[in-house]
Amino acid sequence: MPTARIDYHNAQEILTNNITNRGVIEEDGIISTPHGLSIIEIQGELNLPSYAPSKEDYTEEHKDYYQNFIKIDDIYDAVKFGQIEYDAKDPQKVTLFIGRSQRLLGSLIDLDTPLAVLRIPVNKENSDNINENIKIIDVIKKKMIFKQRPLPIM
Amino acid sequence: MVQYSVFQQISNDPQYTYKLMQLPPELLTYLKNDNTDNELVLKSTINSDQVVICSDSKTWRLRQMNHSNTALICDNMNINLNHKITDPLIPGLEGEKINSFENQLIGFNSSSYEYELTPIAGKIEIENLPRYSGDKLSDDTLNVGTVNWTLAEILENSLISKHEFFAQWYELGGCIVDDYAYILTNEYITEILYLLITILISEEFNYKDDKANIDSIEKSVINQNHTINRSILETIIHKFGDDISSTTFKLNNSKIAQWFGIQTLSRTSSNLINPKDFLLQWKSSLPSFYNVSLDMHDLRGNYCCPIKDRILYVDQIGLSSNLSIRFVQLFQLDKSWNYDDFIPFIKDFVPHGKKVDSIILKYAKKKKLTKDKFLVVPR
Repeated sequence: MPTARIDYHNAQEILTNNITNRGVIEEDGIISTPHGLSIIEIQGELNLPSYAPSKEDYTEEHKDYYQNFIKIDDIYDAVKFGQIEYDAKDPQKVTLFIGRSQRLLGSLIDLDTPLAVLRIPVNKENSDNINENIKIIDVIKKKMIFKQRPLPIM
Repeated sequence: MVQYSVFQQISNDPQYTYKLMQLPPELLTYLKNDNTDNELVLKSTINSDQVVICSDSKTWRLRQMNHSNTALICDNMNINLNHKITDPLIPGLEGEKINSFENQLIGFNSSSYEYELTPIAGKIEIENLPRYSGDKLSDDTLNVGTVNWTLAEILENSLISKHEFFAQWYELGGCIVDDYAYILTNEYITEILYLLITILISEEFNYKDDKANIDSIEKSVINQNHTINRSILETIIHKFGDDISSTTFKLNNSKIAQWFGIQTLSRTSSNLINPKDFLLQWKSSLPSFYNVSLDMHDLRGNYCCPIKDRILYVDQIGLSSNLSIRFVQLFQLDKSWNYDDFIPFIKDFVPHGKKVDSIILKYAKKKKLTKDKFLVVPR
């Protein structure tokens, strides 16, 4: 029967607030954990491009579209889909702007049961992490949730 | 106003996947506890139809709770500064770190479910384990198709936490013989228990109050019966003892009396027996000079009374674990049950958070006999 051990050393640190001060800026701490994670929940599915456009096809008129794409650590492509805004004095209300025409009103809520983020190694032969355990990398206690339909930006 | 640009990764890390799991309060407390010996283990059955998470003393069932929303796990670039972000597509800006003045949240995982944990009672799978009765010849014939597992292997293969495991292991009559795990047969348990009590009484031990020394009793027991070993004796002591330390124990007399009662009752098999005759048989099954109070009520859940003044043995193993079938089976044995006799048959199967009475009303009827006496009858 398959059995896997879960490494929860991190969770212990997080839950006992025993993490080294990384100089987290107060405003970042509102939505993110001290390890920098947060959850954004929106209704339905995000319809994103599945790949970044090729550099060769770049033209000046598509500059706006191309500007949405970034590369992380020289490996992963990512696309910008919106912008989040909140007032640091009243962080319960969060707005998510999608493109230039839609906005979503949401809120920052405390979770009833905190969520552990499990990092599960993908089993592949010849991979280095074959003996690596599943790890709890963070515990998230709040999330930004957008329950309403999108509103137009006037 | 605080502003963040929100990105979502469109190519994912091939080495890892990320999942969200709810942490119930008890598990949170466990995780907070700074004890390096503590473990958190994910276990599943061979066909993966059930997955559990075990702490040292608790078991939770893992259920995938799907939702129709998209939950993005985002990394805040102001906190995790070691990521390199570049804008590779715009000529002249390749490799440049862009918008470094901007706050960025980068979603690295999107999920449409989270794992929900529900506390459950762990269970040891003993079906495939060999039985041990001290008689090698009969054991070999009976133990066809069983597996030889060590204790550690059974723990690994059962959906149960460590502490729950040992509590249940003794209760099930599990023991170790020649490094492998066996389940003691009921007859053998009765035999050892009989021997143990007889030896204790012969040593003028006050079985109602005194504590017995395990090491000295081990010598006497093994002297009398060479098929018994330390592990078997420990199982018997844990199953029928109270106040157990590493060296001493007390006898749990009501549990012992109940054990002898059920074994005596099971020997009557499908014969109807007068309760008075049965009490005599029960009394004579106990070791000599072992005087404990016997009460039919202690055997509830093992018999029914289909005819006035006659009882019939009911083997719970033969009853279905599906409540609606179980009710039908019970009413086949007896059309009208005394409420108190009926409850022990179903109380372990009542779903968490439900009352026994509401289950009875769902599958049967409750009939009032006198002020505080009820019958359970079919609808």
